[in-house]
Amino acid sequence: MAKKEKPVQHPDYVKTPMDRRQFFARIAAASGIAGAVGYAGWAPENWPLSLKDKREPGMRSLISQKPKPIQLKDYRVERAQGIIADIGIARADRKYDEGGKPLEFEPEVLQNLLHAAVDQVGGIKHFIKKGDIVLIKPNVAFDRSPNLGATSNPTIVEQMIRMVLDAGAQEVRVADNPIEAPHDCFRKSKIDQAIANGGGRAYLPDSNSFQVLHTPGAQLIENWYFFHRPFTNVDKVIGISPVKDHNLCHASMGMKNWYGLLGGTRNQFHQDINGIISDFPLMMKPTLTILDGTNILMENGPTGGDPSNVRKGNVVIASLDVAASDSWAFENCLERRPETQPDYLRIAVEKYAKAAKPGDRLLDLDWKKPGRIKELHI
Amino acid sequence: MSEAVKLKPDGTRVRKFLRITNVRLLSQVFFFAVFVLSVWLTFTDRLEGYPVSRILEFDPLVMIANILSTHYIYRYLGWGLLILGVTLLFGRVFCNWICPYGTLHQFIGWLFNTRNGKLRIDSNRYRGMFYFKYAILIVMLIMAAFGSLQIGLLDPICLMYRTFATAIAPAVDMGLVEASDAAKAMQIETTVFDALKFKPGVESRVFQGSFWIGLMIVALVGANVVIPRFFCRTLCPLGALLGVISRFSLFRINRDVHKCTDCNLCLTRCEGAADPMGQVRLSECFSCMNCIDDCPEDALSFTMFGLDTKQVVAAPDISRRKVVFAALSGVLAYPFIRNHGVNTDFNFQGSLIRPPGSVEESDFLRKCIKCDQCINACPTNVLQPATWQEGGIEALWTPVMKFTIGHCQLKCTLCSEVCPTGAIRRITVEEKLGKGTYEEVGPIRLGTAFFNTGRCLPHAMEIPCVVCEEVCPTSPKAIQTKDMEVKDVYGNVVVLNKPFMVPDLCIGCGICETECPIKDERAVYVTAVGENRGTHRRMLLKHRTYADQAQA
Amino acid sequence: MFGKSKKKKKVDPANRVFNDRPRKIFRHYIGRSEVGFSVFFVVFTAVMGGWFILQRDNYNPGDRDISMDILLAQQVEDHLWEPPLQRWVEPGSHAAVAGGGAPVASIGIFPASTVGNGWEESSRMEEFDSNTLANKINGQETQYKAYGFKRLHFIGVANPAETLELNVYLYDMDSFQNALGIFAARRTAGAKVEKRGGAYLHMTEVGALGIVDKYYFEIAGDTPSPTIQQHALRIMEDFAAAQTGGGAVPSGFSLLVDGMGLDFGSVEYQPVDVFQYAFCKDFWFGKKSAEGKEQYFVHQAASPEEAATLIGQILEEHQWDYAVVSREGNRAVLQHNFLKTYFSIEQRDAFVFGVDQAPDTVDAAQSLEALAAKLFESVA
Repeated sequence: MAKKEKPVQHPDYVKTPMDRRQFFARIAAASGIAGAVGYAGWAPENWPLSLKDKREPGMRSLISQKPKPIQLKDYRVERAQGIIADIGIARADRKYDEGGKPLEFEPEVLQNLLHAAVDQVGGIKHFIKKGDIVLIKPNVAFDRSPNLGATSNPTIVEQMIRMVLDAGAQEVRVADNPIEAPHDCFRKSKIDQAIANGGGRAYLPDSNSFQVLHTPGAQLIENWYFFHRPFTNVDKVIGISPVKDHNLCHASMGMKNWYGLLGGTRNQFHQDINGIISDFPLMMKPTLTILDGTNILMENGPTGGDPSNVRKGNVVIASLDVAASDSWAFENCLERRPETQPDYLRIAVEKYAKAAKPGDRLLDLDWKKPGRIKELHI
Repeated sequence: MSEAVKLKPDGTRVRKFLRITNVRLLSQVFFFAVFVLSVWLTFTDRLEGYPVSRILEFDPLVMIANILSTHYIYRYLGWGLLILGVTLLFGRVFCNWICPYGTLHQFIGWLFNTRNGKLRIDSNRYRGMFYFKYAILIVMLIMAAFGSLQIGLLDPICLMYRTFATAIAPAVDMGLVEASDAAKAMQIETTVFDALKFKPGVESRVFQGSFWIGLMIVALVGANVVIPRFFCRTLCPLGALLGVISRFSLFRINRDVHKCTDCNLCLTRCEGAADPMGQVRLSECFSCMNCIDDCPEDALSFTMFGLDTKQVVAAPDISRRKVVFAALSGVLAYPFIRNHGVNTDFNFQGSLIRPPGSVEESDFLRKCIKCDQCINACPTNVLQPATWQEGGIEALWTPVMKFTIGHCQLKCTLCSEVCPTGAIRRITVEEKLGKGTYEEVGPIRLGTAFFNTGRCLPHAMEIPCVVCEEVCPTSPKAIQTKDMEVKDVYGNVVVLNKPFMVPDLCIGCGICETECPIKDERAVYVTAVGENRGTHRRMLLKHRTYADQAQA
Repeated sequence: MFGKSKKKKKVDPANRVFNDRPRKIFRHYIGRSEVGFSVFFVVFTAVMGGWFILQRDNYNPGDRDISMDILLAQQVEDHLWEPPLQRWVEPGSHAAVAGGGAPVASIGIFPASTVGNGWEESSRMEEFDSNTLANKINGQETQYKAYGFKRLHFIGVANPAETLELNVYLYDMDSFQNALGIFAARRTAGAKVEKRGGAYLHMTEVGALGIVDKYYFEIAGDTPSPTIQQHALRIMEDFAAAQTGGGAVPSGFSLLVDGMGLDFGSVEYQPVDVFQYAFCKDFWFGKKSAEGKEQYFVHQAASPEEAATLIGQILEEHQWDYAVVSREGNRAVLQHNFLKTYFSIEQRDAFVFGVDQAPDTVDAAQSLEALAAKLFESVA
């Protein structure tokens, strides 16, 4: 046999040795990638571009706040000079028809009532400054007709929008997350008409309008989905609420109105209805709370639905202290005995006092103290 | 764009621009836009007075099938005669000038068609399998005559409305939500994305069966890449009906044999596979006019004068044998499906809850064309296309209410307004609530709510909760409570409001089921029994009233 | 991609995505009728589109809503009968024992006559202290706490035969003065207060309010009924009888009300700053009559020495505003410099007593005698 020969290469075989530059380029690329992956995986969490798992071991860490929670600011303003009243009440006289049945108030009367009520606590110009973006939160939870007492009175909403715009506000937003279908609720309660006539803009709960809100000190909603989209860049917040009987919590008035801004599976909170309502003053510190006592839902609340459930009242209340005005409305509008006052009012006052910082204006349930109420009969 | 056509003395740029195929394109775009606009407008306060179901009402197959099943013409369905008249004059212009589904097929087929030359020409030749649509038509018409309306499964207009409502609109909305989020993240203040949404101001919608409906349209439209206008040529029952009628059409494609050189270029873009190069098949020709554009000899024209009677095949190409077999299938299908027994009045699914204003179930199945316009219009997303579960194959994709997703809004009657065939007959809010002239009859009841007390928090677990009573919209409420104090296992004395139903007052709106916090299997749920659209599924014989006060 | 330039290189058909065939029209002849039809069709399309848009207002909004008139015309009053709240009954308590009559397991400090004679326990007996008071009475608890509230005992009884209910609230106010104070704050102005046994009370339509020693009673039923009033009365009287007699009632009070026969409403207790002097505390005042400002006052000091010191201090301070009319031993009569009314004061044993703002000296002296007589009547 001949000497051992090199194996014969296939004629098509083309030998292309790697040159040095290519080799180093490839090594550099490989180490670069390995280095990047290693950095991302092992660098401490607070270093930039680190992908290290921040969460503690255990199941609880899975319930993390994925979207970064936002916080609301305090929308209250200082009291006007010389005004010590927290609750401004305006009354008017009703006209009656031949059969003795009370007639609806004319729109002008309602407008004057609202004006007068706000004037008693300082006047709208004190609360709204030029260029403010104002958010109005009415109660539009159901698709009831306007005078059935289940939703806010559209005339009052419209008048509030006009007042706020006249006081120099840049933009007025009106928002609510209703229980029933949003478009139907806004339309059938005539509030979308009121918003259009008044010059505001309605915000309906789209799927990307909710974000997690952090409320320090809250018992149930310390971090919860909140209808945040209309609140971006807002300076002042006004709540407008009817006075309603409620089968579970005995009364739904100014404090419960803020329930309409929660998202997610908020119906769970009915298992601790006092706990959730008493969290709202911590969540929302509005500029003004308006209580509409012209169509008072006395029974079958909160949905109402029949005109026989409604008592024709004659007050509109503007309040800086939601607990006191709710307590007043409970006794004087719903005509209930003060011993049966809903527990959430008292619990809210205590909770707020516990979580408040020094110098904060606290809630005070006792509206009988002299000077807290200023009434005007127009 | 191309090298300028050498136009003879009659031709100018303007004329080229105004030629018939451009006008056809305009017509296609117009009707497709009207269709998409109709779907977009069908939602709560956007609806106002727009005639959003009009394209369905123009559909002659819907008219004929409804006449066969119900023996009368509902509301605007008579407009189908207009299309039939146009077909008798001009042939199957509907398929290529009006039908939005045809436009979609043609568009996708044109966009992704990479065939050239001979391959392209061969793809447009007539195939034997194109007879199948006539078989489908026969089966469906026979079933309709017996009383089970199934045309909605394949009718192109119904299919388009249904697909857009349940699959495409939610997908587009999802994309717009992402765009809106991106704009917010980039600090751009804009509301254009929200204004464009199909369903603004509500949470993202879900529709059961959306996957299959979406798959169906992707498959059928995707088939255009393999066989151009596959659905229109092979499966469309409306096309088949128009094809049967267009054999009598006045105007048709006419080939001048003296000018023709048999180059077959007319097949390059023939939509109907109607063999213009030979004996034109009247039943297949879509009057798309593409062949006229493609003939270099100007041999083709669309006319009623000087017709060459030899160069035409009028009738559909389906043999008598196939017709008989199709008829037989139709005759057998009906009893087999009906005797399946899921839609009788003694064996029906409790989940088959129909929209308010619906007629009795046996009539409903004679009328519903599964267009899903009602599902489109519904503001709370409670209406869903039925799956096999609720009504078997016969009721597939008809509207049912699923109260775990939404509830029936008390004062809303939009579904009854947009229904083109009267499966949901037109009602006013007065009739729905049982007020005004309807006080004697009472409100429309969709079903009755029942409590599963083993899962209810106050009944079974000593935990206070009464959301169901809170949201019940009737006055007085149909959910009342027995209040009692109990001492729970932790020694606390709590007040439990234990709810119970008052079925005389319940209208089956389902908001109690939607709001119940036991989200996996609700402790209060609504079933179809007690509905009062007919008498067969009634639960209570009479409704109780207040006791006679004088006896007290 | 759509074949703008002819010089594109040929792409393999499998890699092509879109149609890249240029649009070519081969026809030559476009006839007049065709152009005419096209123009007509364009116009027709525009008309159809316009018609569609114009249909916007072609609907009746009244059909999509219900008018308020119809709702008003067909109002339904909610008369559904609602069963009353079923109370929690502690096992072993009176109400739990079938047929009644068995001795009550826990009725606390309430007298035994609270149940029986047709009345049975309907809601369990509860006790609350100042931390938990708010759980029972909402919103008013600050008032009670301001008057030195200690403990609340509550019980509910019902009379099934006449379907009556009665709630008994018994407040331990820690002292007679506090109980008197809260009674004054809560009772109807001008109501007639009577003394029954050891209790001072006034009846209301649905029950009674009153005080027994340091306890303040509020008894309220659900309907005006003589049965309820009787039962309320019985509870209070029996409770008063059960208290270890009279020790808690301050002597000053009993002198003025029981002894001098003054109206209950005219008696007042001043704990501090009497006559605006810091050293002067614990005085009982009683208006002699509804009009006029004349009032008796009584103070019981811890010992005669303290009483002597006190009267000395008072007289010393008073000399700035009063002129002495007569002074002998432990008795003095003064006249106010500006008001010209008379002030008489005497100290005997541990008591300091007298009359303020008497109109003349005779009256002042006589009232003083009367007071002294009554005060020391029982003393031999």
